[in-house]
Amino acid sequence: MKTVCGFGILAVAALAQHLWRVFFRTPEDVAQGAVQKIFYLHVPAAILMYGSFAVAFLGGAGYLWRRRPSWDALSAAAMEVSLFCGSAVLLTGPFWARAAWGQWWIWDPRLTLTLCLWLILLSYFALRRFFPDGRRGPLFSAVFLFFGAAAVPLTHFSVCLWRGVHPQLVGGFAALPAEMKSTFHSGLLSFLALALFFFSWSFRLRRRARAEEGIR
Amino acid sequence: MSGRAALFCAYALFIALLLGYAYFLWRRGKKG
Repeated sequence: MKTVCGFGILAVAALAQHLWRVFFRTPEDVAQGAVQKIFYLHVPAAILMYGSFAVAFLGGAGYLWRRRPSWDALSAAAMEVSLFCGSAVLLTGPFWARAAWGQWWIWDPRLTLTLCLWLILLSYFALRRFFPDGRRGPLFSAVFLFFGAAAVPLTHFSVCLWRGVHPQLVGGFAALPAEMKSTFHSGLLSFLALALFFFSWSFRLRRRARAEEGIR
Repeated sequence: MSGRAALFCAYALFIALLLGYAYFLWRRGKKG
C-alpha cells in the first residue's frame, strides 16, 4: 500500500504543478489562442494510452508464456489505465475541435481509429466479464490483446498513411518554443505519475482479489 | 464556443474523469 500512496502523492503534486504551469506560466499560442493549451493534456494522454497498451500487450504475452495469474493482473491493470487515458483523449479532443473547426467531431482517419481503439479497450473488459471463471478469461483476453494491439500503430501512423484533418506538429517537438516544450514535458511526467498511481492501485486490488479467490 | 471556455470545459471534464476513476477503484477496494 505504501507504493500506491507514494505514487498517489507524486501524481497529485505533479498534476497540480502542471495545471499551474498550463494556466499561469505558458503563453498562449499566437495562431490558436487559449484553446491550444488543451494539447498539454490531450497529447500526453494519447502517448500514455499507447504506452499502457504496450505494457498490457507484454503482460498478455507473459501470461501466454508462463500462465501465471500475476501476468494477467498486470495486463488487466495496464488496460484499465489505457482505457482511462483513452477516455481523456476522447473527452478533451472534441472541445478543441469545437473551438478550432466549429464541429465536435469529424470522421477523420485518426479520430475514427482512436474511437475504434477505445472500443477495443472497452471490449477487452466486456470479454473478461463474459468469462468470470479464473482460467478461460485470462487466456481469451491475452489472445484478444494480440489482435487488438494492431490498432495502436495503425492509429498512431494514420496521420501519415491517410490524409486527414487531425493536426500534426510540423518539425516535431523540438520545434516548439522553450516554454511550450517544458509544459509539454511536465504534462508527460504528470500523466506518467498518474498512470503509475492508477496502475499500482488496480494491480494491487486485482492480486488481492485473486488471492481471496484462492482461499475460498 | 470560445477557446477559453473550451479549455476550461476540457480540463474540468478531465478532473471529473480522474476523480470518477479514483472513486471506482476505492469502491472496488472497499468491497474486497
